[in-house]
Amino acid sequence: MNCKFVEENLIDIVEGELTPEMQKQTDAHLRSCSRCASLVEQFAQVWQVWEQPVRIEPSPAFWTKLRRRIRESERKKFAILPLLKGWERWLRPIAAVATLLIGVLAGYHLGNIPVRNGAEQFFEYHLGSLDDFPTGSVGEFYVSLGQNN
Amino acid sequence: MEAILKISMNDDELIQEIAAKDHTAFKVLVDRYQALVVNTCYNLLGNRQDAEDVAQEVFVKVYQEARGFRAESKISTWLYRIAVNLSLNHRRKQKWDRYLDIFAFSKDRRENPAEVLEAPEEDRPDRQLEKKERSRILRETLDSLPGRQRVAMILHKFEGLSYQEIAEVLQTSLSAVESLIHRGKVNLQKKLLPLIEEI
Repeated sequence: MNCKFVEENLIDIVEGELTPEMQKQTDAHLRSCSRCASLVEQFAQVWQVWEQPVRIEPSPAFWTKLRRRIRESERKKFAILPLLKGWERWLRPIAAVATLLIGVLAGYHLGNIPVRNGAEQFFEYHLGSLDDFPTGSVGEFYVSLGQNN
Repeated sequence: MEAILKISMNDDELIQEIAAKDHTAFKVLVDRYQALVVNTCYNLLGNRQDAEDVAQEVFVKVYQEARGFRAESKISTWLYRIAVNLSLNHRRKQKWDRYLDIFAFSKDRRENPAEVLEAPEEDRPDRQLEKKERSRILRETLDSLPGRQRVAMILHKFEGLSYQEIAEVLQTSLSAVESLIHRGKVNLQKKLLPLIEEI
């Protein structure tokens, strides 16, 4: 028998659930160990709270309020409005989550647009228009124009 | 005269009358069981106002669902079951409310946890400070247990229900209840030990 046994079996000790032999050994230990004796005493006092449960009296208006509630529940039986009751309380968190999602999606979209410098854009949009020019130099082109005329 | 006749009715007869929407029979049933329901809710929620509110919901449900009640179990078992389910729902809703309050920026907060756990002063005026402290410690520790362990411990210790009755209320097996209460006790002991050493 030691202090560890007492600490691990406090409920069985205070509820008298130990075997007679263990109970005898525990009693002997408690007589010699003031710390364990005090611990068991304190624990027993807390555990006693179970035996003195707090009982409350229902308020005198219980039936009156209940009758009103029954009437309301019968009236609202087919109403849709109660389903929406309290929806406005969800509005803020929903708006916060939606804003966050929109921000994340917008950031993701912007991150996927390829970044090009000015020269790349010029070649893509403007140089393409010279593709129809005949081969050779610009000079040759003008010469050939003159010859055709 | 009608009320007097109905007072002598047994529970099953009352339920049959309530199924036919008889208000007098319903009042007799409420008078018979309101203390049981209110106190069960009070022990599960730790707050008088919430307990009365949920107890009323219990009776509204009884009124609405009396037709579906099967006389296989006792009406008290049925009432305990509804009270436990609605109290647990209420606690869950309170947790959500606390999260939503963060967004509401409202100063109109729910009552503080210590207030919720402790019985109102007028309920026990003769108690001394030490007793109140012990009661608070036990209730707070109890409150930190997982839901079903807490419910099983409360029904057994505060309401005095047998393991078999708890099994019927929780719609589970006897061995599951034994296990719940055993684990509840072990957890309570673990959590209480450091608190008691502090006293």
